[in-house]
Amino acid sequence: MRALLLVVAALALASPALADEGMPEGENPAQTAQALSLQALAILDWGLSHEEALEKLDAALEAEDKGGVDLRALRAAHEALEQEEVEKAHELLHGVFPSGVSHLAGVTYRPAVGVGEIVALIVGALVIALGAFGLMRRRRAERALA
Amino acid sequence: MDLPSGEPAGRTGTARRTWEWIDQRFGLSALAYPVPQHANALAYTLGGVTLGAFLLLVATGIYLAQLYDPTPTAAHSSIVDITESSFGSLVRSLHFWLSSIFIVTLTLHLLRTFATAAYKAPREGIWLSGTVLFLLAGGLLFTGTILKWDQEAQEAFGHNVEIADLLGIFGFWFSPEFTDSVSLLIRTYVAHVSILPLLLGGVVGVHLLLVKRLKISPLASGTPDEIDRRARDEVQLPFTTHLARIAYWTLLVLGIALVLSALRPAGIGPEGVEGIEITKPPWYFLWLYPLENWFGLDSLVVAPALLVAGLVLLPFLDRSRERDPRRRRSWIALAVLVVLAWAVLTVYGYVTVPVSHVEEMG
Ligand code: HEM
Repeated sequence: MRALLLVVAALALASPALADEGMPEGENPAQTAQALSLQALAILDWGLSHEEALEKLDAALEAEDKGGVDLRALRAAHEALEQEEVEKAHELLHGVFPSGVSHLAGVTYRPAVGVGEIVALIVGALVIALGAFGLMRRRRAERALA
Repeated sequence: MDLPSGEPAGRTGTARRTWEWIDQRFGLSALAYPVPQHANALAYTLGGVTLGAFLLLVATGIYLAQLYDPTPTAAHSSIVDITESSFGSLVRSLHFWLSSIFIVTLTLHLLRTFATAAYKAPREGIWLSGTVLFLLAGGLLFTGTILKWDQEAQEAFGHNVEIADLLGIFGFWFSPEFTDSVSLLIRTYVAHVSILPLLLGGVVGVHLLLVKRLKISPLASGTPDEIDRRARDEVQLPFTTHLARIAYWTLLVLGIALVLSALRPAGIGPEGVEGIEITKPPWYFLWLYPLENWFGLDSLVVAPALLVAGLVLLPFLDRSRERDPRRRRSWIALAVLVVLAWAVLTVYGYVTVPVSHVEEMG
């Protein structure tokens, strides 16, 4: 119990100190150009509204994280879509992605490992050691009881 | 402080007096009833560890609920905001990893009770309540996946809506048409943070009361008569020793979740677009992915329904007195087959490219 309180106290103490600034206001780091382009392509593949695809390409051009997309192809696809040349835009979008990348939109933003994670790692290791030690003590106590 | 285990407390003076004061008022020493020694082995503690993981999920979930906005226009960015603050990200990652640990310990618990034939008379009720818990846990994982409202969530949500349509009148509650005034995302949130956890808590209560009443099943080794004889002679320990073990195992689970959260914090994908499919489900639902590719949407209903039907029927189909897995080879072979099929489907789901559009993109 005492150990658990210590863990909670350590994490609570760490929390305000670790509350970092994050990204600039308004910037959504999960909206990478690559993921947005992939969404635009899928929207066209599925025959959904090309205006929605255009919105995605707008956002892709503005995205901070361009993630290796071919910007020239992206701009060309955007322009084609603006002209409502859906077929051409579709074609061009295929060339936007860096070769060999997965065409899956999985996780696009994961916080980098920083001080918070290092504290969590140390606390985690201590908690594991505490649990293992407690279990060893219990085994001995139970043997004595039996 | 030592638990009321009947062990020498090893403490005198204030600690003992405090303990007596608390015990007189709350009757905690009633928890020191005898349980067989084998109940303290890890295999027989997995249910308690699952409960421990669930309580940690509730604790981290309460914190996340203070920061999450379930309205469709704000859900995704509120998760991004949580993820951008160090402490928020840590709690979110803990919740994420604990949910995986929860489903792993839950499944191992199910497999242990299967392997030791704990579903047999008179414990059919425990098994059936466990099956309900399994379903509720699946519901919690599914609704949790939807809340982050990124592309993966949007696709899970789309499946929810399609399955609701498929189920017709039975799916009405899960469909957006149920009401115009509250979005389905908000209703999913309500299910995730209140309906499902409350139901799970209630059913866990029934499950544990039944275990207390019917006692833990005997060690499953030997003929039925040998098992009965050994059970009569087995050393008994206070139940509080079992609780202490659960507490330490839960501490270990918390430590592992902290380490995993530190090494691989939970991430998020781009805000979701409705009607497209460019993600794969999380690992615990990945086995359904190839099935959907081969057999279509119906398989998402049929495969889990078959699994649950099998679990429900099991205690009524296998009625022999045998408990030792070595003397129930065909049932064990069936379970191994199911686990293997799950593993193969999961790996296949992981390595295959999505069927619909990626082929085109080459
Ligand atoms: C949230 C989910 C669950 C919790 C918290 C839980 C908790 C527990 C606990 C604490 C026990 C005491 C013994 C032990 O830990 O092994 C137990 C026993 C049992 N559980 Fe669960 N359980 C859950 C889900 C399940 C599921 C999914 C099944 C199977 C379908 C199941 C079937 C059983 C059976 C048959 C027993 C009796 C074991 C015996 O007598 O050996 N439980 N459960």
